[in-house]
Amino acid sequence: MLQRLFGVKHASDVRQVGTVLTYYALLVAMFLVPQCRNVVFLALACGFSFLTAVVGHNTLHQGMFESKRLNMMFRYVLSFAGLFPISAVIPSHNLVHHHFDDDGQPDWAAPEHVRFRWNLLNLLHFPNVVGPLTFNGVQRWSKLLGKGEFRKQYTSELVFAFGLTGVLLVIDFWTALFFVVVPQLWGARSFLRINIIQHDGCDVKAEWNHSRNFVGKGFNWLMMNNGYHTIHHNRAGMHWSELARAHAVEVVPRIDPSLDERSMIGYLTRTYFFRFSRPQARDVAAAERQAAVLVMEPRADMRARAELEAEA
Amino acid sequence: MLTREMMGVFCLGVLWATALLVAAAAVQDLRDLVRLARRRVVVGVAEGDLGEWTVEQTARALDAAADEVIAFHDRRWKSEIFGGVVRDASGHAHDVAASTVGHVWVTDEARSDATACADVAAFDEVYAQARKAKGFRREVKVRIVKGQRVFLVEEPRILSTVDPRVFCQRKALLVGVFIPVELAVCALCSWLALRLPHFGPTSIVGALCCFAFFLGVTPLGVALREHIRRPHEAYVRGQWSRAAHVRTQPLSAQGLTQRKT
Repeated sequence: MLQRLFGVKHASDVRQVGTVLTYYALLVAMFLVPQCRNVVFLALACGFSFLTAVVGHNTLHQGMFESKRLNMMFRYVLSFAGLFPISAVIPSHNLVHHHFDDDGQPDWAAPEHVRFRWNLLNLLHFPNVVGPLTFNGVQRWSKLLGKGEFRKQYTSELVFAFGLTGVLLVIDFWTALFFVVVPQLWGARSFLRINIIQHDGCDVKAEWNHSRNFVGKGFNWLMMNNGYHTIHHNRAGMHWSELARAHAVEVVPRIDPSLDERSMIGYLTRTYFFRFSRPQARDVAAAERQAAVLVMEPRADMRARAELEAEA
Repeated sequence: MLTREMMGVFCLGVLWATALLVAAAAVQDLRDLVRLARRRVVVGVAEGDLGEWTVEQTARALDAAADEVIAFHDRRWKSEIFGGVVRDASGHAHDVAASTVGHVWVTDEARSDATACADVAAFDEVYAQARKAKGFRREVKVRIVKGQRVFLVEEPRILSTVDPRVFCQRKALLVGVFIPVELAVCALCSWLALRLPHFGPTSIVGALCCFAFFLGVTPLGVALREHIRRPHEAYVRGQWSRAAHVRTQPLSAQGLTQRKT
């Protein structure tokens, strides 16, 4: 019933709509009701801001609504949620990050862009570097021949996101700054930060060992299966609700066990808080050399297809 | 209940953490530049063609501009040291071993000359390809030839027509200025935000400055990092514009003749 009410293609996408609605409800509650301006609401809003960015990522791979117009309008909702034009995900994520390559140059979100010896600083500083690199790259890409529609959409999302935030700042400056802008930026920066968590220490040249997966069931329920990152990279067109099964069938036999993490909290604690230095890179791709070969579409072809889809 | 004071302290904390991280990353770059500037450099004249710097580029047409414009994207850079002899001012010969892992540095002018558009015909030829999805691929090479003044650094191995010490000192100066200025601007914004009465009009202006600083300092940090890239891996990119180019061509090269009236 909810599927029909929201007009989403998959029943599981109701969870995505619910995530975004919850986030907006938290923002509205904090903005309007002083009693809601507490640690619990703020922490939840920050968490749901990140989850909304995850929804944005999913919907930019595959429109969630039956209606094309609704899909385009939903982009404005997502853009305000993270205070950045969500359409930026198409060039930065779908076209560059998924192939770990910007036409010969490194991925704009490659973990190597930060190089502190104290690993925690890499985690903290990562969005400060890859954010501008991403937006510079998006700007360059958007100027290319035939990207006029993208430019129009991108600019209107930017105007909407900053415009609505500006209106809230005019209405009640401090409340908007502390209880709207802070969650917005938290979500956007966490969305960038997830890249170093998912790829640092992996072998991006490998077919199956380019990503770290977080396979906890509760985590993946909340994250719309975004813990299964390897299979998402290799089968970008697959709906997120099918990733867990595909991960078990295709990824598990080919991946180094160290890249299948049970808990993200455990991984973060071990890697960034209980050790000083960055872990040394290992030959994680050895696992796939010993496994049965599964022929994948070449990355260049996948990129060309993604480019066509983006233009459509 | 989270009070304004608590949230203000939290936001200022995040702001300062960001400012300090950007500064710390700049310190890393500064340290690398200073280390390189201190390396022993041999100055002399190349007794043969010593090396070559190459950039592989993809050209694509733009439609964001009113004019026909081609933008170049650097795919990769390559340095190759052929090997040979460099003779210094005292007449002493220094052998340069062949290497594909060493770095070849050439001047900005040499790179600009090599990547410039030769004529309108060249523009048209590239533009036709650049309009296609694959774009136009090219390799631009700059060679260090016999008779050129060169600078040699042993470790990391650098063969250069730019004085590496001067290059590093200039870039280090820029980074050295950036760090205190960045922190001073952050301090100024914080001071404004903390002006009495707290959360009053001046404080709001300060908070807006802090927000603008937060959004602006990271692109600045990245721009600085790209600006100080070593010449062997510095972005060349560049654009060719048809109108700009046609204007610089003699009329005869444009296929036009001047008519007297």
